Amino acid sequence: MQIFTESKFDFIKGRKVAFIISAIVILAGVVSVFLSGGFNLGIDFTGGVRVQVKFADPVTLGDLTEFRTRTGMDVYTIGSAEDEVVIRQKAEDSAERLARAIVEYREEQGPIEDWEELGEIEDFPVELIPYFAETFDLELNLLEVRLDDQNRLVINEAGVEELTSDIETLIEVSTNEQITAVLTDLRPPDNYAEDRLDLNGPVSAADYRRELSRLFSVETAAVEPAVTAAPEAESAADEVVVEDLEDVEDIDETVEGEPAPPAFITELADELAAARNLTGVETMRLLDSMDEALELAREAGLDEERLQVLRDETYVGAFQLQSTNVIGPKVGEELGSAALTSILVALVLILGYISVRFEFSFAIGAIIALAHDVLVTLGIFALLGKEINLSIIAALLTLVGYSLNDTIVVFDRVREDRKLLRRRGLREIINTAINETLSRTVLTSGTTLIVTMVLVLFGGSVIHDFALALTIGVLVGTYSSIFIASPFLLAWYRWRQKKA
Amino acid sequence: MARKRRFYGLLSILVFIAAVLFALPTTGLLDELPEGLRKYLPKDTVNLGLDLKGGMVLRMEADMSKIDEDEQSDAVDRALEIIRERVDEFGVSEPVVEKVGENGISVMLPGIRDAERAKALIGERAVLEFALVTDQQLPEVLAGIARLPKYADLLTQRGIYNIDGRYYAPLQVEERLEAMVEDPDIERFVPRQHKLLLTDEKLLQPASQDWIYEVVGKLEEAYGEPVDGFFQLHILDFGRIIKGEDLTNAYLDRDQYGKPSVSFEFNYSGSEDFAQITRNNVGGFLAIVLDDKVISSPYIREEINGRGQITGDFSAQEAGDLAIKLRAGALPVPLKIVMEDTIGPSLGSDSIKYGVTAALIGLAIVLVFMFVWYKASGLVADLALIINMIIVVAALALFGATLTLPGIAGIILTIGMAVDANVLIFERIREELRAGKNVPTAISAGYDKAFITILDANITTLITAGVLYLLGTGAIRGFAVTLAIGILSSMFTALIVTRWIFDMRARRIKDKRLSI
Repeated sequence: MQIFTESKFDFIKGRKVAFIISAIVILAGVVSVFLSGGFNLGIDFTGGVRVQVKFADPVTLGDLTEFRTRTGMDVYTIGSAEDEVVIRQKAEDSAERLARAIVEYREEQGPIEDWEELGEIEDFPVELIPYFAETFDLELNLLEVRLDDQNRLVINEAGVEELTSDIETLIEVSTNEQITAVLTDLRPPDNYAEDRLDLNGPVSAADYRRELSRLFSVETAAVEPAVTAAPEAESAADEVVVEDLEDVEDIDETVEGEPAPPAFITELADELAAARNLTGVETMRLLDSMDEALELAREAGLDEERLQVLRDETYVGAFQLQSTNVIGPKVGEELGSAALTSILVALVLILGYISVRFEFSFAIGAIIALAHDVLVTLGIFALLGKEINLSIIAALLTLVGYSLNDTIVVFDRVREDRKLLRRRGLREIINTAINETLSRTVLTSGTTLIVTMVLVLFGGSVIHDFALALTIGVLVGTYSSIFIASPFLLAWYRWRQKKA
Repeated sequence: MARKRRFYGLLSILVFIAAVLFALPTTGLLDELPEGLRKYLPKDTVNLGLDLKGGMVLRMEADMSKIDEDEQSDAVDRALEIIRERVDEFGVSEPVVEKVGENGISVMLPGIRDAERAKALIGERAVLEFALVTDQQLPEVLAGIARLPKYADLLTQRGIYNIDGRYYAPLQVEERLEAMVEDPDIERFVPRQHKLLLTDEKLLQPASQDWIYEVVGKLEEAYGEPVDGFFQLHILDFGRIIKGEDLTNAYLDRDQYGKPSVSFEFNYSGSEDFAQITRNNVGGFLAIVLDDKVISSPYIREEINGRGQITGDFSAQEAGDLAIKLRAGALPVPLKIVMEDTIGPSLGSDSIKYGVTAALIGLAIVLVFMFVWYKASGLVADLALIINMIIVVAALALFGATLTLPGIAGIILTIGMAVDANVLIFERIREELRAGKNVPTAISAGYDKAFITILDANITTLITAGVLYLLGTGAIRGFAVTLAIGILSSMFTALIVTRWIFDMRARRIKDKRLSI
């Protein structure tokens, strides 16, 4: 099969339209960034807390809105299955800004009599006020604010620094507490199947035991003798005191006339009951013991199908905690500047390489095309409201390397044709080169697009945005190597000739 | 020409065999073989990154402001060693402890999910000291501090209470209490070489001892709010202290009530000091201080020689972890946790599942596409692509590289990019054929002319992979590594392997039509 065998498009002629389209997209990105108060930066760069949970069932838009209003945090789904949710709180309400706001407020309004006053400060996180009230009487008095001999406001930096670090801790604590509150508070969605264990009702270990025994009634009878001894022997060495207490409890149950359920049910039930008292982030710890309990169930001869049921049923609440990230604001800043540096370093190195291999005017065209690719992809991400995080930066860097491939294919041909067609003008040579290489430009991008699109669709939640950035970038990169790189090469070349 | 072809052929076959050998262990196919045979085969498999197998990453910064200048130079390196020792005893497989930047330490713990425990085990300084309790000085010291306006309310109105001659404060005032005992302003009220310290928090729990219930009851009455726990204040004589450095061993033990505790042994000089202090102070109390918190202050019944026991409100795990920390030694500098990632095991296995699915689907589509587009030549490119994938897996295993989720993405991206080189070559050959050249000449010209383009294009991608590797962190580095390996091996398969096959085809079909 073949395409574009004898194409004779005048790409250079179309360059003005292309410039306008690119400018519009970049401008739209800039405007949307401006309107929404900056890029949607991930906590990689701002610092903060991010928690990813997976629900047993897809989450509705209503659920999300509810989480959002209840918590005041960013809550959004990721991936394509609609059951994974990210709860995120950034630390970019940076502590220092708050510290200075408080100091300024004191300067204008005099000493703070009542902490509620702070609510009057613009953008002040109201939910922090109770914490402030508890913690800050002292430090606030230590802050020295005065006018110097030229009537300028002087704040002692040491004081601000101290206050800043305290506020930082506060923000971290309050964020953790809020997220914990959200996680312990999450209710199963309405369509939460009735035959699932209701883990959110006020249930005790005994309730869970009954419930689990009911679910696994067949196995309960069959496997009982095989497992009752195993777990006790295993854990006896570790937690003598606790173990004793639990034994007493078990005996009570038996006396009441209920037969003791198999060990895995007892263990699971205990874990689940314990989970109710765990705060959100701690539920991660639960998974460990759940794994052990499930392992016991497997050893007890529970078949895979039933195990799977058990695994699916034992969402804590209606969800499982997937991952948590806590990043301090300073680390965020570092990562941010490292990301920026890496893109710039890559651009400079490529500029150098192309200058050596081709000519400087080629390098100019290539670099402008690359900067264009990065800007347009960022712009589209801003328009889509997607988060910019470290992996997106990695995607952008990859693009810088990849979108250059197509450009080089064209440039190579320009270089070759210049030797063959000496009498023709550069404009015509470039046009011929683009047309000659058109099919390979489209094909190479096409095969790469296939895999990036497969990644977007099937790659899972974590990789989704990364793959999306690559897909957009490959498209933009192909377009730019035809419509941006070569026209700029020509423009630079002509400008130089005019000067000389 | 024929010599070059034979060389290409030999190289292709050798690399292919080596790649298969090194890739096999990762596929798990070798597990079935008898031990005797496996001995002769490579064993290294691809390591999975934390994001794929779950676990936690901690990044800490050393707080240099808290230690003397002359200790600062090697403090981080010593801390690194001590953390390594602690982590090794934690029982994690393949932990990574490394220095980041100037004062940073990064710890990766695969499979760990109990974040709080790991943080306590790694991040706490574990400075152990033994000092005599001189609580008889407390009333005077506290009366002095009460003269400072900032603490007056805490001491005279609400916060710290005298209950039967001992001083307690409820959990609610924790922050202010800590600020107070750390405040340099109070030093002038505290006798020389003495310190005002708090106990660790005593929490009200179902199994708590009676005296805790009693104190909580009285505190609630005085404070007027429900109280979940409290601190006690002590004055300790640090004039003659025994340091934890003199310990030779520490291990998990049980006290006489069967509760978890930590037993320890002293070296010679520590043992001497300990015996002397206890001998001279029989009838007094000796506080066991960990990181400036009084863990317990047992009554000195008699002279103690060589060994002792730390009892407190420990769970077995806490006591065991404390023993680990004491054995490894105290951190020379306080560490602050600045970044913390915890990845659950289900997310990791989901990611692998999705990653492998995406890779297979992508591979299938690209294979079919190349065949449809370039017919028999497409099959040659497909063969190159498959060999390419085997080489990537083999190289990852051989170099002990860590496969992360972005790394999987890098491999998948390589699938799309690896055929690019062949596309460039095939298009060039088609062009030469259209220009009327015969098959062998067209093939030869196609490869030669596409070579430079392929080289330039791939080198620029390698440059960005290099930048990503140098400036990126963990997972991103994994991406850079797989991308770079993928590019290099795709250049090999596209330029060497397919060239060899094409030359053979050219010889065989001579002037007949080339299927391309």
